[in-house]
Amino acid sequence: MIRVLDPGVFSTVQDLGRPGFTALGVPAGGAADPLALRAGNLVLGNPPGSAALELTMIGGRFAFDRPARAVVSAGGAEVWADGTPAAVGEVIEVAAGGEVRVGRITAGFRAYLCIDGGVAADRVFGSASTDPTSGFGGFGGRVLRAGDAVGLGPATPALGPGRPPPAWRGALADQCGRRTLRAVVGPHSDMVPGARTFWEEAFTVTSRSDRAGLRLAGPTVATTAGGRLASEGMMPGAVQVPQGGQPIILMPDGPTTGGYPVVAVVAAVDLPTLGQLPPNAVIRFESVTVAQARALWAARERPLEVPA
Amino acid sequence: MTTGGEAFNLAWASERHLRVVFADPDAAARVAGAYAALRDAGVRGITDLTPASTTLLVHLDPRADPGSVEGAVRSLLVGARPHGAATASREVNVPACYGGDMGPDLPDLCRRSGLTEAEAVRLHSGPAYTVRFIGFSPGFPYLTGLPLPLAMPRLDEPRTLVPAGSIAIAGDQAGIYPRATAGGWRIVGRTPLALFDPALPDPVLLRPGDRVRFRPISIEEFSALAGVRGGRTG
Repeated sequence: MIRVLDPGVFSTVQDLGRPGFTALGVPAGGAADPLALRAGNLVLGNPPGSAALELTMIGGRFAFDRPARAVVSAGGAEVWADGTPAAVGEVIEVAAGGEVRVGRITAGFRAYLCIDGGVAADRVFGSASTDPTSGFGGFGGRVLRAGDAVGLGPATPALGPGRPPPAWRGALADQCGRRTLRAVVGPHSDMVPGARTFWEEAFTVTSRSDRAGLRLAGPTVATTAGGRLASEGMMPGAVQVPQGGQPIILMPDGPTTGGYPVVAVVAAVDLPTLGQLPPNAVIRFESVTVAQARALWAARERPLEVPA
Repeated sequence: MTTGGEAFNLAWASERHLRVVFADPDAAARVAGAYAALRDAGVRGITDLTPASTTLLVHLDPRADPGSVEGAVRSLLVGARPHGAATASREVNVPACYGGDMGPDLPDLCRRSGLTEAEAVRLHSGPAYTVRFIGFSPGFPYLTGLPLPLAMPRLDEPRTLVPAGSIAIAGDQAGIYPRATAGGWRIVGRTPLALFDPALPDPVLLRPGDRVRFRPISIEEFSALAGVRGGRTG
């Protein structure tokens, strides 16, 4: 088990989410940066979707009651093991009673504290991910607090050297620094006369953003939908334009259906970046075709595949 | 496209989503039929299906071969038959405390419609609504049957926090927020009923096809009922 000594700013249990239940209104959820979660688990030899602690902005302090191997997976973060500085993305051997502290996340916005055997937590709709908005899954359906005791899976043996392939490091660095999001033209683009403004101008991620959506501020993107569009299925990465003209990018815990016009959908290749954009990040959108979006995703994923 | 009398349009909404739009009349029954056909077929590469009032969104695993999934979806859509409403329609009674802090947009609705608050409440609690689909957030019912004078556009800018149980309007749709979330619908009242409880074997109270009636209650009755699950009467 892990004892939470300091919960940080916003720490939750996350795995790769629960796709398949949007017909009940249940969002897929899961790690805001699934690439970083997978990377941390692979370094440990865990299945890539093992549950871990998702840390936001400032990590926290965690004490272990069993010997463990831990990895802090992030673009960059301050990490200490029993007070000694430790490296991001590398295995930290923790003795029983030892502790890992994660300070500021220095590149990107989220880090994953992965542990051998994974975090054991409430599984709801097939996933241990916390949905803090609706209050279920993970640790009591909520954000971690000081004093919480989070369960761990059984310890697993260390892996040999050479895994995972070094491509992970480059992919994580790239996505944490990325400020131009590749996106395809959305299904309601014809209801957004301001679409040109959307594609040409820069927008700022506001502090009113969370795991449900990134609220942007920037030039007004005019729409004609009048707030009367029938609600329909949404997806993480959908860029909605409410009548006020300030776009919102849907995140993993976002609404499963919505009625604001979707001017664009962020390509799968850049979804992990959405989880790493800090407040005040200035971003732009680059239009890609469906075929280009698929090629970008395949080009990113291919070198990350781990030989069996 | 239109194929063999089945009117639907199938297009890529992103590189990993197929969006199916059904033509009226009877779009709701076509959505229900298509959803059932795709769900039951278990097409490899499809990770989720999101039915709504006139659309069905098909989510693909990015690793899937998009061409073969599109082909399978298209042939299933052509073969799907429209579904009637739910098999066994239940009627659920939803207590509703209107106006004041619980319905902050009721005064604005009255200004726009020219109705008094009492008239608006009588109108809203009059008809039996039908649950068309569940979406937005866990257990959120999209209801049809809103009397036309109560139709209202969404807020220009969604609220960052709508209280759990808020009874809301967007266009000609009515709905109820099961949990506190951000939301852009107009809020006219609040119910103490729990619409989503993940601890229960059946976490979602309302299902597509259920009929819903709102019953006006006082703030005192709201407090007395807070958090109850019941409400099923049929």
